[in-house]
Amino acid sequence: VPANDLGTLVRAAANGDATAWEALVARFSGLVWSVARGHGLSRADAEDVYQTVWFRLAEHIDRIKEPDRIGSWLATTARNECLRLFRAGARTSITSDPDTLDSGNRGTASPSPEQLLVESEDAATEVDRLHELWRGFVQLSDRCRRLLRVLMASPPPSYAEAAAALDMPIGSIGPTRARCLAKLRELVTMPGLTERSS
Amino acid sequence: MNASDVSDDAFEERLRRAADLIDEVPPASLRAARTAHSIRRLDAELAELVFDSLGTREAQMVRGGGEPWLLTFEAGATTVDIEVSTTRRGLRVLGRISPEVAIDVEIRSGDRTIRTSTDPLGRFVADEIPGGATSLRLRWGERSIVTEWLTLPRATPAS
Repeated sequence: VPANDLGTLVRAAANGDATAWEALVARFSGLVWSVARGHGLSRADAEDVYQTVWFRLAEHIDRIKEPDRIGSWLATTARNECLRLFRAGARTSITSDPDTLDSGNRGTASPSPEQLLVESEDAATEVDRLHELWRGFVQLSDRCRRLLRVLMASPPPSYAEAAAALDMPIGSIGPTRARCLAKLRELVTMPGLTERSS
Repeated sequence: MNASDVSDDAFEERLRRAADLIDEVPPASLRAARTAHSIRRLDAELAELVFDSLGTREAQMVRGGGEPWLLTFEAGATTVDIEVSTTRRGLRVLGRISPEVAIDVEIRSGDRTIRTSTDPLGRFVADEIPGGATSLRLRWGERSIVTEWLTLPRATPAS
């Protein structure tokens, strides 16, 4: 979505257009979630931050100063709420524990398209590979996990939005991403990790 | 396929697939976001957060419990101060509105709405606040103020 269209969406939503609001949620829901999870909040705390951010936007939307940069506003707001919750005593549990790894989608009422794929054998193998990749991801440093978690939001954020989410200069996003992806490649090609049978 | 055989962009795309599978936005939260637009309280003035005793710097993180947490919201000339603390029965919110006025207070927090009202000095107290996304609504006469949403930690069970 081009930036000027984002501005149009924000102004339409501020004027009561529910369709424009839903388009904003569709575009940035994944980013807001990934900022909270990237900062190491438990799923329960991340849900609270996620809701706070969207509730706050709903009541702030007519006073957003730069509507074209709404993604950065959401990312910054999510980051600030994460930090506030940390100071106030949040439960942090980064995804390294096996429970969290496996509890992702299982047991939710309606299966996602990804889950439906599990029907076939090939897809099951693919799912196993993705879980392996995730096991490598959670072993990365906090810094790499935070950056990559934000960049892997669906749909992917712009570097400007990622910079806001991480409070990093925009110019260091690219180089840090390259370093962190290289580390992850090392982790997932280690025999102990990739050879693990499931 | 070996991880080192794919470009960074393709590798990031695999990570995105993994995140979509393993760590997607919980459906209930997504529903709450989609409907947030329709629960805007358009008749109320928004009181913005202007002070947070926990500060805004990362260096001041996590101190453990015990210290009072003070927050100040402002809407025009009206100030709302609240203090959040943990008791055996969960979170307690002590508040004061100034200039003082007798008001009805409605605290939306998590899945609950807690109602109370002020004493003649404009003070109020509410217990058993669940935590999560939280906002206060203050009503008196023709006026209504809502405080900016913020996240309170979920009360941990008393040990």
